[in-house]
Amino acid sequence: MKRILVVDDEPHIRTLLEQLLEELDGFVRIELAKDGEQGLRLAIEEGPDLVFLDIMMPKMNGFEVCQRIRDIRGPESPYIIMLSAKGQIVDRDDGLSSGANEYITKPFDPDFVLERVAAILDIPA
Amino acid sequence: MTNPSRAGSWEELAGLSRRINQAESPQQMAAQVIDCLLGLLPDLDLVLVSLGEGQEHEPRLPIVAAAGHESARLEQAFIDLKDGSLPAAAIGRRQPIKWSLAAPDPAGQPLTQGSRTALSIPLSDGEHSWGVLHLESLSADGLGEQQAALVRLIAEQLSVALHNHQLTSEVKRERERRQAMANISNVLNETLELHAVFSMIVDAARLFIPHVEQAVIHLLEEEQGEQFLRPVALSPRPVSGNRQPESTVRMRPGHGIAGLVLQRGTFINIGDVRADPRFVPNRKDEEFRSILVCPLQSRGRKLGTISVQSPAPAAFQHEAEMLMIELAVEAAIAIEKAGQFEALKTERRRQDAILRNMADGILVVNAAGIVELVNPAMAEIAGQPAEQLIGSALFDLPGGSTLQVIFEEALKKPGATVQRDYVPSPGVFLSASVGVIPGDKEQHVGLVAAVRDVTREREVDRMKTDFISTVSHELRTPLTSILGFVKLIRRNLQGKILPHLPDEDELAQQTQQRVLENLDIIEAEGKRLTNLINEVLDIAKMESGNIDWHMSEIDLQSIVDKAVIATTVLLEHKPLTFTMNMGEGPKIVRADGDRCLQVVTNLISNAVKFTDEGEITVSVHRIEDGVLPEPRGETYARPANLAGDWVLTQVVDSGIGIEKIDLPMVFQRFKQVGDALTDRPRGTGLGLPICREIVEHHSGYIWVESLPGKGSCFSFVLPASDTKALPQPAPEDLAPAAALDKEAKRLILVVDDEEFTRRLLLQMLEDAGYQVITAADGNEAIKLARDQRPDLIILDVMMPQLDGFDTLVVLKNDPQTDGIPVMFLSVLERQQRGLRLGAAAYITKPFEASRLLETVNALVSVSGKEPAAGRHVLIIEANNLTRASVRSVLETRGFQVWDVATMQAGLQVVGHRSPDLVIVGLKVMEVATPQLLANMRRWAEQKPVHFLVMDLEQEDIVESTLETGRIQHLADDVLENLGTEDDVG
Repeated sequence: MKRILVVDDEPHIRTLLEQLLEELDGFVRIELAKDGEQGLRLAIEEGPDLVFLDIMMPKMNGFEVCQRIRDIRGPESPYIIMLSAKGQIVDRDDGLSSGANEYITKPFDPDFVLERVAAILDIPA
Repeated sequence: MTNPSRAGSWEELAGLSRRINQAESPQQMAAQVIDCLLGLLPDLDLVLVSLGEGQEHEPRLPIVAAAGHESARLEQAFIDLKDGSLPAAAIGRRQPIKWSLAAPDPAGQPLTQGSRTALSIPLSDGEHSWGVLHLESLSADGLGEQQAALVRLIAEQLSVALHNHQLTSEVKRERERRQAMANISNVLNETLELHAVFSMIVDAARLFIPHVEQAVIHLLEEEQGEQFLRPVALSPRPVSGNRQPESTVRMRPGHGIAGLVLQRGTFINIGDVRADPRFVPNRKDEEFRSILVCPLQSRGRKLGTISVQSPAPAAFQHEAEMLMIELAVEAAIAIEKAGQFEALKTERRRQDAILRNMADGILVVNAAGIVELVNPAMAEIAGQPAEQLIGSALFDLPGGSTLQVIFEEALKKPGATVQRDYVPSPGVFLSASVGVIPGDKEQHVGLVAAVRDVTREREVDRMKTDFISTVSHELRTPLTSILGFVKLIRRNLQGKILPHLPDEDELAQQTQQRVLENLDIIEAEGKRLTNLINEVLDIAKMESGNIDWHMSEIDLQSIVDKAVIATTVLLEHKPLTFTMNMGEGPKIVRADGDRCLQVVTNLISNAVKFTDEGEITVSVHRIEDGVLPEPRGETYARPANLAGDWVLTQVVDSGIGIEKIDLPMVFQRFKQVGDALTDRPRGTGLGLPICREIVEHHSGYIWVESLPGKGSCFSFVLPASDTKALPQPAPEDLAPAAALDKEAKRLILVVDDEEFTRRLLLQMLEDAGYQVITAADGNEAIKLARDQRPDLIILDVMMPQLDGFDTLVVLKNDPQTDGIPVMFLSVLERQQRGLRLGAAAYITKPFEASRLLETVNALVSVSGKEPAAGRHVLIIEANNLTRASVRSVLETRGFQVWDVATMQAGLQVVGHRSPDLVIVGLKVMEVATPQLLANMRRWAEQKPVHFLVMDLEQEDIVESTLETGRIQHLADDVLENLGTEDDVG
């Protein structure tokens, strides 16, 4: 059972991702965080395999959460997908520079997200 | 009376001759003669010399010297030529007259009563008359024959001396006159102040021309279309400053003396104005009788007149006329010159005022790049006083190095204004508009720049962009929910709800259909909204200059290739023929490849959108000397005259076309032409405006040509790059395999479910000399791979039935095919998965033709060698393009590549991954903090790793450290691919 952490301050987006990822029921367990601080805490304590990370969030932004996870977890870091409505190239560079593995812009294609998750976590489609 | 000794007389005479010839003036001569006569003739009681010619209006000669007892009794200081005196008679007769009381001559009387004898000898050479020598004696034999002969001799000598004196003094006067004129001319030449010139001329006229009482200059002026002569200078100057020059009458050309002179162009000399009806009198003019007026003209241009006046009638003779003509010539030249200078000064003052009061900074540099002029605004912008800026090099100004680049760009485009922004210091944004100052002989004499502080505008722009950015973010989030939930709803409906609807319930079935259709509409509109947001953000960034342009030499042909691939899906549902038409010659431009792709893609999708059947043609041509093909129908924004070489890209469709009246709207924002009520798919209305922004940013032109009902043609031109700038790969470079091994052509299997892509790749690879077989799906591909054993398989990812990844897994698990290199070509960005499964390379669509061929060539040539899969390389490089290109080279060789932009990010990567090779860009190395570098070194020491610092942009290894030798062959590979001969050390 793989563990996925969704960190987003928008409740609808959290719900959307939660419902979407439920399609991989039986392979994944989903946890939700409503801001950066909570996200970081869960990422450290729960040790997820994959983190969906929004960038613009109250308390702690996604870049910082990402860096902190990398700093603390080191080689044990989860796979991190930045998920943001910011679509500029410089944002993507910032995201990847802060240690994210991927950067997906909102609005995203739910099918694509599922496909990525399956590929990353080696879940048969 | 005593008879003087003869010898003594001769001696006296010789001495006299010498003395009078040495005398400086006629007066002195007369005095000498009188002295001598008094000595020689003791009985003389009156001797006088009267000199002059006498004037008609004043017929008398002044007595210049007189002596003798009786001289005191002379009542007059002159000889009146009409009063019947003896000397007057002698002058009249031009003959000596000897008079005695005994035999009085009836012609005239002696001057003093009581004189018994008298003698008057005219001083004349028979032609000229200089005056008279007159002697009287109270003695009856005081002037006998002997004495008379002696006096005549002396008179003759005096005449000769006077004649000589007249001649020499004329020469002397002429010389003086010339000297004076030369002096005037010199002074005039040196004087450029118009009023000083006027004063000097009138003063000179009064001082150098004889008998001048007053001199006036009139200038020809024009007022309300009427010409008149206005007095501008007077000598002597009027006492009161308020008084107008004496002659205030304004004369029109042809009227009055001055007017006539101006019209005729020759001087007029009037001896008595009272007798001349042409003269227009003025109150003050009553004092004058003589007037001499000369035209002032320079190079055929009439400037005005100069007049001299005298209260005496006929005061101006030939000499005065000659002097006036000379003076007038000099004066005209001086006036014109001073006038031009004055005009220049006025112009200069005007320009100075403009410059001084301009809000924009003005900067002028000469051809050598030295600052020649700055205005106060420029000094303020530069933060240095103007005096300090002038004379310094452009390069030394704040932001000088950028300015230099802008100026150099302007030099390449004489006649045009180059406008660029630059940042002289952090937080300050300046905008410079630079133009060339053309020279007469030289190409240019310098450059002028108008510099504006646009910091505030930038700030506003930034706020606007931030705002739009924020708005777009705020819009994207709800859109994510909408689009995401639509999909989930549909999925749930289709999977969990709809199957349970009873088939026999017709209403339920109908409603089900409608609900699904409605969901499609929500999804389509959501996507349209997303596009709109993206495009609004795009155009806002472009307009505010808040966009990074990644300029490089690109081949438009390959851009079009990519665009065609990206738009293939649009063509699927329409019966359209698609043609590509590539012209001769290199089609290289310096541009941002992604942005150009955006333009071409947009034009193609527009063409598809508005064309239901028929054909779409995309062509790329190099055009020389700006010669465009004939327009197709009505045009809008088509450049009238292009100079130089361009690359022309055209997208021609056979669609509905655009009405002439609508043409100007196509490039306007949010304007969609045509009938809004049709069911035609609607775009955002921003596509073409964005295209125009992009094209114009590259100094290009975009335009439309259209025939309604027949179709449209959208064209854009970009300036062609010097073809030398980009080394064109020779055909053998592109396809070494084919060139080396013609007999046994390398075989490539292309697997793609899209027929168009298969055709494109087939053509491209065959052109490069490969043999190509194709498969439309995974199963067919596996079968072909087993049968044909190709040298390379190019595999699409998204295919029906068996997708690319699954196909690869099958291939790699079959000993018959596991050695064949497989390259993915997909729109999906799933490099990692592909490479992990064992692919040798992963190229994303749209792809660049040259890069694809490079990869294919490399893979085919290494096929059979041990694959480098499993080796990991980390690239730390700030430049996105460089990073991507190095990455692709390494991926071609089967390396797994991680790439990051900063040292910090690189450290994080090595923190949880273990690359075998780390390549650090020189720029990154330079800006990294010592702490980061130390951390990186420490890490590199802990693990056996190869660590390269490279100037990736120069493709040159500048330093190699921490070498362990363990992965020497990897580094060799890198070097080989980067084309350098340097030893790794």
